[in-house]
Amino acid sequence: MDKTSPKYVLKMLVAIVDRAKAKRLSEIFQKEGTHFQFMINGMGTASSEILDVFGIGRLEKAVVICLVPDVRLPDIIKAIDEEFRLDKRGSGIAFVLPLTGVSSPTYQAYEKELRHYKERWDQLMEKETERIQPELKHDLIIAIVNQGCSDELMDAAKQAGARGGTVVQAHKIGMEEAKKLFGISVHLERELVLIVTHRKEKKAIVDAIVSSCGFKTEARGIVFTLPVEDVIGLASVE
Amino acid sequence: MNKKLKEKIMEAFSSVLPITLIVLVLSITIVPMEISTIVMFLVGAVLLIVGMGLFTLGADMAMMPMGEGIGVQMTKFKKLGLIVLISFIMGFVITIAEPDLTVLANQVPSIPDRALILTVAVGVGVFLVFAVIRVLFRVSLSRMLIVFYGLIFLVSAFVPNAFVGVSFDSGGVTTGPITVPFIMAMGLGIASVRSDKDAQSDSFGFVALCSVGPILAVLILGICYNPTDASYTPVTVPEVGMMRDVVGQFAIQLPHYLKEVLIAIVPIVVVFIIFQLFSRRFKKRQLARISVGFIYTLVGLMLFLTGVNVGFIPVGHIIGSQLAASTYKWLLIPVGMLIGYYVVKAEPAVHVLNKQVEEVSGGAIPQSTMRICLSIGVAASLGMSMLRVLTGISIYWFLIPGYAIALILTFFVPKIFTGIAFDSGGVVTGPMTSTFILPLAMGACEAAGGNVLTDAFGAVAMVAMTPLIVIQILGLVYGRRIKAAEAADNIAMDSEDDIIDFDDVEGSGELQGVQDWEDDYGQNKS
Repeated sequence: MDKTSPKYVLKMLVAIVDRAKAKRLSEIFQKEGTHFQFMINGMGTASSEILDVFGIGRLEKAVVICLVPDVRLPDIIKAIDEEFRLDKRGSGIAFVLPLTGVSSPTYQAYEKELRHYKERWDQLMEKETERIQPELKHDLIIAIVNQGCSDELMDAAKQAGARGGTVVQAHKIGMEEAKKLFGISVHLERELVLIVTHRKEKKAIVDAIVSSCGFKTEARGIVFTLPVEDVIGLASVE
Repeated sequence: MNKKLKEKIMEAFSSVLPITLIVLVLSITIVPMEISTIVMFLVGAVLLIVGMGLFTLGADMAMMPMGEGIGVQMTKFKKLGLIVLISFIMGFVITIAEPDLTVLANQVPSIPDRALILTVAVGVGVFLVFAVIRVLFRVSLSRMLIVFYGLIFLVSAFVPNAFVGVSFDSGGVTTGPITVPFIMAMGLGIASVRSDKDAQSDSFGFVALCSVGPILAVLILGICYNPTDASYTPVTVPEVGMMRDVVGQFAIQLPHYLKEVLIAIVPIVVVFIIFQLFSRRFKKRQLARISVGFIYTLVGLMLFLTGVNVGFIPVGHIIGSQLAASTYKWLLIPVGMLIGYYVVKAEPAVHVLNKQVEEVSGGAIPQSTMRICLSIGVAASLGMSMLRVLTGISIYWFLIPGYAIALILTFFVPKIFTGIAFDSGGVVTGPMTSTFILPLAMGACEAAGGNVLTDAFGAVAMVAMTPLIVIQILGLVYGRRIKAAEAADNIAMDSEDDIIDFDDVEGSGELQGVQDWEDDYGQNKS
C-alpha cells in the first residue's frame, strides 16, 4: 500500500435548524443512511433587539451532529437544502468539519455503505484530486462566555459582519473552579456561541468579540476558530 | 410572518380549539344551550386563545429565566442556613399570594381563613425547603414521596371525610399557573449546577413536593379544628339577553382578575428585584425581556382567567347537569372522558411542563408524547369521576389504589419519569380544572342527586392522580425501549475500540476491521 491510496474519510456534518423541524432533519439523515446522530439544544440569536425584547426575536434551535462519509456529502447536503431551503435567512445552516480520525467501531458502521459507493468514489478521485486538500473558505468561530453575555457578544459580532449565531448552554468544569457545595461539585454556567463565517470576515468578527467579550472583560470570553469545509445556508455571503 | 409569533399563535389555537369544538358539537346535539350562553362561551374561548399565547410567551421570557436564575444563584450562597431560609420565604410568599387559595379558604367556613392560608403557605415553604435540600443532598424522590404520601393517608384517617377532598384539592390549588413555571424553573436551576448523572432527573419533583405540603398542612388543621362542615360556592349562570350584556359580563370581571393576577405576581416581582440587586445576574437587555415577559404573563393570565371563569363555568355546569338529568345518564362517562382528553391541552401550565420536559430530556421525551399521556390520564380520571358521580362510590376506592400503584411504579421507572409524573399531578390541576371540570362534576352531581362535597370535589383529586400513573407507565415503556436500543447498539459495535487515523494512511491498514477494504480498494486505485 502506498501513501497515495484513497481513503474513505468520514466528515462531521453539523446542521442547525429550528427545533420544531429537528425531527424532519433526523429523518433525512436516516434516509440517507447516516449513523450516529446527536442533538444538542441551542438557541438562535435575535434578529433585532426590539423583537427580542418583545419575545419574538429568537427561536429554539437544534444543533444536530452526525458523521457522514465524504462520498455521500453532496447527496445529503442537497437533501437538506431542498427540505430546509437554507439559503433563506434565518432558516438554518449546515456545515462540514473535517475529522482526523475516528474509532473503528464507528467506522465499521459505515463500511458496508462505503463499499457500495466505491465506484463513485473512484470516479470522484479521478476527477478531482484536489478534493483531498479542499480549499477552506469558511470558519466556525466558537466563543465561550459567561452566562448572560451572549447577547452582547452577538451584537459585537454582527457589527463586524456576522450574520447570526447559535447559543448553547454549557458549564465550565475543571478542578480549580469546581467549587464544592455539600459534597456536590458545582458547575459554572457558560454560554457557547457558534458562528459560521466567511474566512475573509473571520478576523474582524473575532477581533470584535475579543474586544467586547474577551477574557479581560466581564464576559471572560474564550474564542477559537475551526476550519469548515463546506457550508450551506450562508448564501448571502457569496 | 415572524416565525416565533406564528408558532405561539398555532400553539394557542391548537390547545383551545378542540375543547371549543366539542362544546359546540354538544350544544347542537345532546346538550341544547341558550344562544347567550354559547356566545359567552365563544367570547371566552377567544380570550383563552389570546391569553394562552401571551401567557406561555411570558412564562418563557420572564418566569423561566427568573426561576432558573434564582435557583442557580441560590446554590452560590454555600451556607445551608441561608439556602433554607430563602427557600422557605420564597415558598411562603408565592403561596400566600395565590388567589385560588383564598377561594379554597372560603369553602371551609369552620376554619378561619387566615389560619388556613397561613398553614398552607407554611406547608409549601417547608416542602420547598425539602425539595431544595433533596436536590443538594441527593435524596431519592420516590423515597420521600412514599414517606409523605404514607403520612397523608395515615393522617387522613383521623379527619372527617368531607374535609379530605378539600385537603387534596389544596395540593392542586397552590400550584397554579404562576407558581408552576417559577418553581419548576427554580428546580432546574438548582439541579443544573450539579454534575452527576442524576442531576437531570432531579430537576423535576419540585412541584410534586410543593403540592404535598398543603395537603398535609390542611389535614393537620383538620385534626386541630375538627370541622364538621365544608361548603362550596354553587355555580350561578348569569342571565344575559343582549350582546351588550355579554360584553358587560366580561368587562365587569376583567378588573377583578387583573387584581388577582397582580396580587399573585407582585411578590415574585419583588423577590426578583431583590435577587437582581444582590446578584446582578441579568444584563440590561435580558432585564428588558423579563419585564416585557412579566407584562405578557400578567395580561395573558388576566384574559385567560376572565375567559375561563365567565365563559366556561356556566357551560361546564350545564353540560354536567343536563346530561345527568337526561335519560342517557351513562353518556356522562364517555362525554366526560372526551372533554377530559382535550381540556388538559388548554391548561396553561401544562405547556410549560411539557416544554421543560422536552428541553431537559434533550428532545428524548417530546412535547407531543407528554400531551397525549396527560390527555389519556385526565380522560381516565374524568371517566372515573363521572362514574363516581353516578354511583356514589367512595373516593378512597380510587385514591388509595391509585396512589399505591403510582408509588410502587416509582421503583421501576427511570428516575426522571417519577419526577415528571408527580410534578404533572400538580400541573394539570390548573384554572381549566377548577372552571370547567369542577363545574361539570358539580352540575352532574346536583342533577343526579349526589353529595357535591364528597362526589364532585373528588374530581380535582382524581385529575391530579391519574397523570402520576400514566406518565410513569410511559417511563416504563421508555426505559424498555432505551435498553433495547442500547442492546442493538452493542451488537452493531462489537469490534475493538481503536482509532482510525485519517492522516496516518499506513497505520490505518493495520487496524482491526479495516484491513480488508483498505487492501481491496486501495490496490484497485494504485
